[in-house]
Amino acid sequence: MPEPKLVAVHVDPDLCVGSTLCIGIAPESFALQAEGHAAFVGDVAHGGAVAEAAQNCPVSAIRLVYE
Amino acid sequence: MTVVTDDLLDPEIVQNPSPYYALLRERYPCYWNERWRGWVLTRYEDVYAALHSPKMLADRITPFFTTRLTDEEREYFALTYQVLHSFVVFLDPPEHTHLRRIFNRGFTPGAVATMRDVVEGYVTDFFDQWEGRTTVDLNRDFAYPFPANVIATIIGAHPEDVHRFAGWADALTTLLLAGVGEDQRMDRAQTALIEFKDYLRGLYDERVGAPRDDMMSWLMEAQRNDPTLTVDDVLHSCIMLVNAGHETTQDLICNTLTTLLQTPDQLELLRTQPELMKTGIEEGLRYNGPLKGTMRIAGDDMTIAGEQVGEGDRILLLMGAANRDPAKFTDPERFDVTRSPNPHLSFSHGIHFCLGAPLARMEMEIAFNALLRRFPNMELESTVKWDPRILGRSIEPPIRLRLN
Repeated sequence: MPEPKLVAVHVDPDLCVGSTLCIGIAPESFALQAEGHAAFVGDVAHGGAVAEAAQNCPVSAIRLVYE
Repeated sequence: MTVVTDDLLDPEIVQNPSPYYALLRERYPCYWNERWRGWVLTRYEDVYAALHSPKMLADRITPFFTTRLTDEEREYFALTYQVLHSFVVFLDPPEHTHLRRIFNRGFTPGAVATMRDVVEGYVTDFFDQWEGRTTVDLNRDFAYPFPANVIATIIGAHPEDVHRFAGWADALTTLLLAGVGEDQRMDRAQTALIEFKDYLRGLYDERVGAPRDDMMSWLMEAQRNDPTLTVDDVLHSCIMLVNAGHETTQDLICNTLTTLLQTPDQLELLRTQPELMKTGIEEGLRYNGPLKGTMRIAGDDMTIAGEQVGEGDRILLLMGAANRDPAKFTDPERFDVTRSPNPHLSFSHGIHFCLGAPLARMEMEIAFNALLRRFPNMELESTVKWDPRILGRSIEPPIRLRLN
């Protein structure tokens, strides 16, 4: 069975606590914003470590949307 | 000119810190406390910014050891320094980044969900022992042993040894959370660390070549795959996990339940609408979280709320005050189990956000659902007396509950 295709990544700014774990795991996909929380800045076509980053979020603030 | 006391352990402030916090927030948001010899931040905005700032250093252990101790003391307490300095909570990047990422895998929400059966088992066992009794001591009969058993099981300790953790954890907590009247606290802590580390070394050795399904084995596996990790890193981290997962959860249980019992309408809301448990627990964290504050060292000269803070200055971040800042929370002095959103800072924020938060939230949810369902008529018999601690917020035991 083919892997489901990732179409979007959302970081909930109300849940994010700025642990920056996602940025450490997937630095090409996440970046810290001025207010202290992370945002998805990557390319969904090159998901890579995005799933690992989502799993490691201590507050489950990263939501992955698959096709 | 209002006079501000510098005694953070003033009995009135310890029992009810709110008026003092409000005064500091409104008049002196960045206050030099001469007695504590550091700056005190109380506004949400400033505490939040400090927790997120790379210029605020978490290593307050090295400055303490290098400036406050004599050469002789430094040598004598070398082991304490070595252990504390390896705790991820006292590390700054880049060392912090590496170690935190390793431990984080063991405590993600997904990883913690696999511990649900263990937690539920302990909750059932402890409350089965409450059945038929008219009074219990919340602390001794549940809040202390429950998280202690959970974290011990997670690490892989023998159940019959859990009682030994109490003394070790208490000695270390007294040192770290600045208790009073304890001249010997460094000596006590070092003795505890030696015994604790020796005990953990025994668990470690049992697992060499014979891994089990526990955190110690998992950390040993991480150590095998990562040449930068040492045996000491594994043992010291276990000490930190036991300590962190132990007393803070104990205090969260006691603080939240006593607050609920003192606010009967809110308790009733939770009892009749268990779907509010999640926001109720967050409100417990906000209102009387187990830590009033945490400490940082200024990594550079900076201006905070108009004050010139110098490199190397100590800074006390009062999350307890930030959590009641009217600039951030509507009606902050009201305990409201429906409050949402509730961006409290009780688990800290930024890179040091509590590693164990998913576990603590799960322990609270399981415990409080069972408590309110099984003992619907409980009442608080003791008077709540808060312990005189600068950083910690805990209630003096016993905490007597009448169950019927």
